[in-house]
Amino acid sequence: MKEGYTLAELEQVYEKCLSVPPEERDKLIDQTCGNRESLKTILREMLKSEDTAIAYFQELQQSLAGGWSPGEIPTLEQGEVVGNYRVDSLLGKGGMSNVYLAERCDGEFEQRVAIKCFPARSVRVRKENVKKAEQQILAGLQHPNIARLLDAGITGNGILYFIMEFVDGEAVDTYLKRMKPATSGRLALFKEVVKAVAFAHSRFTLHLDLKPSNIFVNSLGQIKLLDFGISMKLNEDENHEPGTFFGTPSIAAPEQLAGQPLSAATDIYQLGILLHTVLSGTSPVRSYAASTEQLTRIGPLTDTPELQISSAIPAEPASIIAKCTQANPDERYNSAADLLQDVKRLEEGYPLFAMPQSNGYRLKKYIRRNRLQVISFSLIILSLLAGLMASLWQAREATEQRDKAVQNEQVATLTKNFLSNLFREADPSFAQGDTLTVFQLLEKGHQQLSGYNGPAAIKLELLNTISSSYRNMGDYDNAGKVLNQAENLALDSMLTISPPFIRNVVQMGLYQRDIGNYDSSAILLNRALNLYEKIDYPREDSMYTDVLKRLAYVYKNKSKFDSAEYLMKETIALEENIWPDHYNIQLAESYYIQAAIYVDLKQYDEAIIYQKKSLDLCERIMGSNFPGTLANLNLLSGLLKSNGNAEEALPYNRKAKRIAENIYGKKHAETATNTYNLAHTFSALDQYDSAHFYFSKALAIQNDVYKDEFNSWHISSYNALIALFIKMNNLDSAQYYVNKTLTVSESPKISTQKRAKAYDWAGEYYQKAGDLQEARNYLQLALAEYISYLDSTSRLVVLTSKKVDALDSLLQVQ
Amino acid sequence: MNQANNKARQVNNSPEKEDITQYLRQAYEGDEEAYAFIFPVIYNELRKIAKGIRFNFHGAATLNTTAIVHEAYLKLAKGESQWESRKHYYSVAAKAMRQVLLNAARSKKAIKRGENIKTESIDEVHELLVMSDATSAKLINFNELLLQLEAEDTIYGRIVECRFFAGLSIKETAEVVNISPATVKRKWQMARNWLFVHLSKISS
Repeated sequence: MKEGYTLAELEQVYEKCLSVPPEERDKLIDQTCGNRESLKTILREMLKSEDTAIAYFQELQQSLAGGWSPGEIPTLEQGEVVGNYRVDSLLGKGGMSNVYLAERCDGEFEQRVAIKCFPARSVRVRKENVKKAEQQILAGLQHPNIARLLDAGITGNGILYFIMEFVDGEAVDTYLKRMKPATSGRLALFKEVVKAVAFAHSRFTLHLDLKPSNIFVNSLGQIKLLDFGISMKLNEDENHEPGTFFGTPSIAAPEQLAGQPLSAATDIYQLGILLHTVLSGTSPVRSYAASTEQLTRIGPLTDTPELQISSAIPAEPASIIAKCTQANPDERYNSAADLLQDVKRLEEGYPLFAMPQSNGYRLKKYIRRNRLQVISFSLIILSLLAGLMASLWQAREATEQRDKAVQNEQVATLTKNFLSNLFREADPSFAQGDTLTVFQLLEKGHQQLSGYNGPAAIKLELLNTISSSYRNMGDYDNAGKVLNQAENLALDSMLTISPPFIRNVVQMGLYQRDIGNYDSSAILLNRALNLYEKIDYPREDSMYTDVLKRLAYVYKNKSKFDSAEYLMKETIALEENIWPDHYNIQLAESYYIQAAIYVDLKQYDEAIIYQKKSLDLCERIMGSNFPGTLANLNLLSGLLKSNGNAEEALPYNRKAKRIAENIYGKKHAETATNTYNLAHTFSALDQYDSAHFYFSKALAIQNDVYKDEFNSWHISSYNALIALFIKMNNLDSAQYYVNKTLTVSESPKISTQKRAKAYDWAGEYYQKAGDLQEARNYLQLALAEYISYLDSTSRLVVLTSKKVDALDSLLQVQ
Repeated sequence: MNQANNKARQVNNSPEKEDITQYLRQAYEGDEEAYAFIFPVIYNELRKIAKGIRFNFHGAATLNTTAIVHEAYLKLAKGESQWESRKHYYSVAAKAMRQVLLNAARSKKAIKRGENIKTESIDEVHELLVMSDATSAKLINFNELLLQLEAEDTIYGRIVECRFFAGLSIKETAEVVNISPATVKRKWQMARNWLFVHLSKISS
């Protein structure tokens, strides 16, 4: 080296310098290098440019295989006409594009647009592709939150252009920095983005570049997604080579970096990055430099961009971000709609699908949810109390308005404080030290109440709440104890007719119902309804209709189906008035109950109508991936099937299976059941191959879920497969499962019902196989099992004994 | 001439997977004949892939050199995923990649720029291995400076080839060059920043 130092020398000192804190480096250089100025200079220069050097080489590395230097981005001149628009001014510069503001110039009507232009040679654009793009623009994305793509083409100068709706606003990151909204506002904004993306996905359009600068907030505070579909249109080349990368490296999904096929999951990944940015103002991508450097190595899962979720983001949104940004696209949310669902659940305090489903987590959610419920419940009580007290006082001596106000306010404060303190303590995020369980919490609440000197009405209401919580959690002993206490309090304090007292009666009714005492329950619930009427409580109130509904269900349990149906009709009529838009989950529950009652009444057409109503409402309010939606789908498909309409049932079964997979995962008993149901429908439709496929799939899931085959699910699957193979006349396969089902049925873990079925199917098989003696033996065994738990007149007993008789006579003839 | 070479001749210079891995191993172990044979094979493959690149929409990262090197391996070694073989490959491919890019930069310098591209001829555009003027100039300067480092110790060239042109990690580079990761890290940091300081002097 001609500069007065050797590289070995430089290397040594340089490393030493890097190992000490920056402020000590100058001293070290002086000590080590003495008066060798050239060595000192280069050292200082190198140390100064450590960071810039890294960035410089990364950029150079990226530009090597075809980046565009800024000088080569095409420019449009002011006044130049592109498409039907006249270029006005430059709006912004991108990595390899310029964006111009332009106005319509054919005098049609005034419209401002943005023109984004690229060097045409930047992409392998074929004429037919541009045509295709145009066609797609015509059928384009019409959504209030998506800036519309109006036109695309190539100018004579080889400039590729896209004309878009002009959005007057600012990028979402700038907007958030300026407005500093609360988390709820940020989530709301994010939800709008996800909704728009979900819409586009439903139109088979991906965004692939969901960076903050492509997400605008317009002057009305509305979200507008820019550049939708541009990346994808350019990516649509049928000669798409593996390894092509489109997008922005800092937000690119691993599959983009690795040049693998892109999908909706790619947008979901970017939405995860966006959520992080929206919530914390920073990107979770620690260094995309590292990722570009490591781009596309063998083993894509180990070479993914390094993300770090900011500790400022709470665990739950962090879990959503983590689920979105899974390296493996299959492990992300299945769809933007699912992501939206989880964001909604986050807002509403339900457990997230993204969170590890530990008991601790569920408990925490339970408390949080119930705290909100209890607090809002207490607020309802307060408003009722205020009204009630006013009327009580009016009935007695006149009291000063001022005093009433003071007293009401006290009542409000007391109740609110009591409840919120109680639940605040139980919430692990507030509590110090050990987390209280819900039971401990209730016990504590109960104890605290004994020393409570507030108004009796409030104390009663709190006791009701605690009792119902115990009851909901299955602790009937404590529920009953607290109720007794409440009843005594009500009697002692002469609070005979008041909403808290009536609710106490309701609670007693529900308690009786839950311990199986339907007669007492019906009496108590009827009494509560009478009391409501006595105090002129409005019938069009969900508190009232709820009692009606519960009473109807008790009648259903008592097999008084006509009364049940009548009460539900009334309930539904009232509730449809309470919520004129019919958009309420309680109404969905009412439809659901009414459907169940019609099933009992064997009025299947009516049942189907209500089941469909419940399904529709449930899905609209809670989304597809909701257990209630799943239950509705299952019941509806079952109803349709037993009504002889398996064809109509099929799509519902398919959907149910998909939802079960979404909610519970691919390996879950619930998923197995739904897969089984789907297979069953195929079987009813005589589509044997599909039936076989799904029965086998269900069986495979069951094998994963259960540690052995000695359970009723396995035996059901075996029996179903026997039935199927008999139908298909495939006796070898049938025999295989006959042996299995007989082996399993001998286990004491198997219920009599299932064992009977196993013998029954074995009998069917042997009959079909021509071994009448064996067939008779098994049917006889089946009959013995049936008789052990069924009436001698029941259908199965009669049917089976007929079969045995028939076989007997056949055997005699032989 | 060894066996592998003979076999390769028979199949008309399109070597089979086993041959490739054998050549690579021999080249790695210092067999100059094997190196002379395998270098152009890899060079051509890299060039072919580089030429086929569609430019990135937003101008930043695209199918970069790392990916090109990797893809060439997939094509040549057809699924051979043993690290040993890849190590042998990288030791040749890193240099070949450097050569491909340098040649592209030199030819770019020779091409007169500013031609209008007509819509009709878009298909042919990507046949050129396009590199921007600025990048070509930087790369040529970069290479000149790297040669200066190599004049003192060739190890700098090998490390820069692995890290910069083939995009290998410190650990991988250490394996390919056969020195400790700590040494690779030290020498790479030194070379990178030295190159940067001198490059920025040239451009300013």
